[in-house]
Amino acid sequence: MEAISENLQQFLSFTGFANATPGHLIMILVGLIFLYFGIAKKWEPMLLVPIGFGILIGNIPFTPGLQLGIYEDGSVLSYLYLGVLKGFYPPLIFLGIGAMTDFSALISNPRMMLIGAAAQFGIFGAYMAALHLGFNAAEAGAIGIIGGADGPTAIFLSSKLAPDLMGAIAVSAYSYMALVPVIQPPIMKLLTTKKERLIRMKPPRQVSQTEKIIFPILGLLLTTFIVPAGLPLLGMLFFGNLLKECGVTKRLANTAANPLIDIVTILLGLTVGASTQATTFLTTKSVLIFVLGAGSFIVATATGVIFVKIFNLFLKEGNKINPLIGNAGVSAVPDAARVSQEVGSHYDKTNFLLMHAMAPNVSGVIGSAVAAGLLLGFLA
Amino acid sequence: MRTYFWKYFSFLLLFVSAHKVYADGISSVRFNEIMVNNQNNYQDEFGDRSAWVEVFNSSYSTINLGGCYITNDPNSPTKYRIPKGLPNTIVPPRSYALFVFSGVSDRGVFQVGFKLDSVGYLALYDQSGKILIDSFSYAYPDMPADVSFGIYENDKNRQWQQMNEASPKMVNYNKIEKTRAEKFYENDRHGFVITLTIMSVVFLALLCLAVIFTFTGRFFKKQTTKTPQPKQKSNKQQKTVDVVQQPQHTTADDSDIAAIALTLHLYFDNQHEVEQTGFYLKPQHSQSAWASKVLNFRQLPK
Repeated sequence: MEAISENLQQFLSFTGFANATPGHLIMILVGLIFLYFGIAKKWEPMLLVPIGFGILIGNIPFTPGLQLGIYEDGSVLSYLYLGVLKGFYPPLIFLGIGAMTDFSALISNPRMMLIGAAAQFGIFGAYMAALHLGFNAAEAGAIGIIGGADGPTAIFLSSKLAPDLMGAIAVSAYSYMALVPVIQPPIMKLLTTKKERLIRMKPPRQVSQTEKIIFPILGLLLTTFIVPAGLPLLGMLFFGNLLKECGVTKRLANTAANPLIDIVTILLGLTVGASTQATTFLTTKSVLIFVLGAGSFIVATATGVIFVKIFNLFLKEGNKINPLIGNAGVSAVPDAARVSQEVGSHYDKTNFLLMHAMAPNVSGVIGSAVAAGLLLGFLA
Repeated sequence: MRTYFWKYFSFLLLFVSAHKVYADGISSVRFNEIMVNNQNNYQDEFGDRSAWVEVFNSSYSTINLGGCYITNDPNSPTKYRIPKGLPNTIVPPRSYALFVFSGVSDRGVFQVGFKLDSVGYLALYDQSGKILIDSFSYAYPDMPADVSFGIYENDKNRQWQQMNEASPKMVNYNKIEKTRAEKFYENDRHGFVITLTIMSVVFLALLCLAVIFTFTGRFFKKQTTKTPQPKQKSNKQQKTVDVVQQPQHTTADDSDIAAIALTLHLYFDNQHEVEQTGFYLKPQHSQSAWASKVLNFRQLPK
């Protein structure tokens, strides 16, 4: 009888109830909020559902030493997490993104690429602020990339520059990407006049198949010759796009754009979520990262819109760009472009900005990958 | 006479080259790091923590320590003989071997049969026990626990000094040397330089792309105006794919383009319902691409 009671006591000491701390409960609550936003509100469900569930997995209390946790050597989760730690999930995601992205809007109107470059100012706004808040240069670079609004790029860079902060950076980046429809519209409205919001843009020209094939090849050669450090991301992005556009590798393109990216997204989301264990995640630094992330998104959106307004000063009447597509320079594809469309249609229901906004949106993907490569080259 | 000359010359050459090989080999081994007070540092395979000495093969060839001698007594060069004929006495190029001074002699190659004092001398002799390969004297009477002394990898003067961090079987890396990020921060404390530099490069990269594709766009625009429109195929599947390329849609206004974009979006999301009127985009084959012979087999050129 005594033995049974002893065994039961031992068993109870191993349960989550015995090992739970307030930190665990807070993080479980955060995970539930993520799941609520993902499922009920349908905000980036593909990301928020795996991350939210990952947060639950990562914050189930247990006795250390049983090879269960994501930070314990030999645990299954630690092996799945290797893709994040070593940075090989993000390039695979980029392969899928490349295979899904149609660059036609950008090819037909190449000047839109500059909007994608301007929106990268958000990265450096956060970088400078992070330096002032006491983060070292490498950490500040990793935090700044949240402003690129590109989850895989943020994970890739933080795994190289500040692995300790990667959980907070990834969760922050994906949270704000999900909140793009909430964050961006007020800034866009604040920085534009009614007249500017009603600007109608010329329909994009039709792009030939040959141009679509040439784009990833030239894009790769040019960007990676300038920034070789961006090769893992840019190489995969353009390769995926070539698979899609060349027309002779449909099966490969389908695999990259569907099963492969789905598998990697599941693993990435789940392990990033699980990496937010209360013991490592609930720190002042994480709170600061969330504040800086919000700031970088605001700066990125604002600089995109302001850049279009400045650009318009040099353009003839009839060629002007609607500044409501400036927000799409952040690379949250395609949410930022959808926001342009929604805000634009609020003022003129017959003004369709979606296709125009896709150009700076995909350019932002290239821009943030180039910026990440440069930060890596300077700070790694 | 001539034959004798060549004989002696060859012998001399052989001797010189053998000496060269020897010089490149065992003589390239040197003591690299020492820890006399090991409390929480390197743990040997028996779970013990003893004083240790790291030996470095500084050459670019493999060397065999088998048969060499380690001693802490200048009068007794052959105090501990490293066993011969064992594979683990081979040290690869630019690699390390670690000798643990546990005082127990029957625990394998790298467990030396005597202990180290806090003040002393250590030497490595070759297989003959007569030629000294490397030696050094040390005096660390008040050595704190787990602190090692050694020679930094990048130290040209080869000076023995206290290491920032003990690194058994690893490069003695001087961590005082600042990282690239730290150096960058020293010159750019507010981040203005990095911002301007990186933003310039991002703009340059995307500007180059924009310029190139502006020109290629013009070129292809001219090409398409020159080439006549190909005849539409009667095949239904082809019709569905080329629907955007039909001439009447090239001059479509924004609402038409948006309608087509929306339909395509819904179609690719598999949400588009089959319509009896309007245009229909569902492909005719119901099998998946993986099972379809038509899609899988490469078509041979005619």
